[in-house]
Amino acid sequence: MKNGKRNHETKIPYLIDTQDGALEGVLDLETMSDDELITRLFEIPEAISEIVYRELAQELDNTKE
Amino acid sequence: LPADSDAATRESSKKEYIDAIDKMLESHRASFDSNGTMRAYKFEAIPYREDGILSKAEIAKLNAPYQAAANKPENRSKPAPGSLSARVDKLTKSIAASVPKLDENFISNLPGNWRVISDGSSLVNRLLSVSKSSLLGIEPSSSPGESKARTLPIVARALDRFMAQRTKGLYTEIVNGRGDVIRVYAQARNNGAIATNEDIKYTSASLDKIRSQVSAIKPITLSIVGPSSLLPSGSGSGNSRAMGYAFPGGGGHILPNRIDRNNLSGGEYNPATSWHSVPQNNYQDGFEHTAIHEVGHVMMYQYWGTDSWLDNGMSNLESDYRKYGVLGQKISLYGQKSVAEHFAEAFARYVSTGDATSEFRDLLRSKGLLKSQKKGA
Repeated sequence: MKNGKRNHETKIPYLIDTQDGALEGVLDLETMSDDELITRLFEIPEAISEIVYRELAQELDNTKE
Repeated sequence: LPADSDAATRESSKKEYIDAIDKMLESHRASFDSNGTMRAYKFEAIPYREDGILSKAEIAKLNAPYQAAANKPENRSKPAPGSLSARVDKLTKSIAASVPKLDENFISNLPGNWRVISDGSSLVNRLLSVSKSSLLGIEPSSSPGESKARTLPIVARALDRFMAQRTKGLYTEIVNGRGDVIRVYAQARNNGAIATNEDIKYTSASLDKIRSQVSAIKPITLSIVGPSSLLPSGSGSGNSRAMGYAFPGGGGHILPNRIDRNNLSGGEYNPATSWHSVPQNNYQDGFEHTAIHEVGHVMMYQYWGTDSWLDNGMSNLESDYRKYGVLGQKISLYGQKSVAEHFAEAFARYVSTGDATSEFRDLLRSKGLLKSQKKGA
């Protein structure tokens, strides 16, 4: 990788409205499992960006080895 | 014909120029129809190009029917068998077969020119586009051809895994002419739609209400999702009672199965005692309130900041709440939780009833969102 950095947002805040009140938190794509990223492939555009990043990082690791 | 075209160009007559090009295209198309001896005509999606005579808008308008024709499945060029493109094409068809089937006739009769997109290609094309721009962001020196060659296998593998999971994250999109999108997700265990026609009708009605009451808003995506689907993990017991959720880039989400059908908070609205800012006397009221409340969160992200941690969206909103005197105003018990919830509740009340305090109107006015700021209002 030329610059080795992610080019997408990885911390995505969310708000959940429940019958009892509101909850808030952050989705962290960097720590998300591959399976969960795949599940969210069509929901969060950044999911495919994170997958692309991980594949490129893997390629780079393989090159080093 | 080229001579006609040149003459028209010299006279700067766009009409004649366009007529000349139309004739040329027609003649070209007709030449492929003779005796079946020539190869089948391949649709050219963008016959009009920038040439210094037509504006970009005129070119887009003239190309629109050609692009629509080229997008029809029978006119698409077929990738070579066994190629990566063929694999992605096959996966696209597999997605098209798996997305929920909706009542297209019902949807096309809803007010607002809604239509169903269920061929899978728009979803896959979006993936390819985002993945290419991601690669170019990480490796700016990659050429467009190189980026396609590198991202296509990544997308193909991701799609393979997605389809192998028989995932719940698949949806059919319904779009209107303003760029708004309703996503209807699939049931967790089959390809049926989470939403009923009634739910889709209430979602489109909610968007219509927002459009008629709020000025200058960007396209909105509202998703109708299932109870066990895509809630962010780690949100604890709230998952089981969630009615809706929102996040930047993802739009608003509604869980119709959680909308209260029985224990409704109807009666007179009172900001001190009412749970929500709009009385809810039936399922439609509850559904539309949730939909508009979630869009309120989306608007908040769009106009005050998409990320409360990186661009201080919540701080910006809170600062404006102070500036315009909205902070501390009562809107509903639900709205007491935070500025974000207050905004969504006040927004929902404004959209549903037209009622808002002068301070909240000033806040909306500051972003050009007030109904009276609509063009022609």
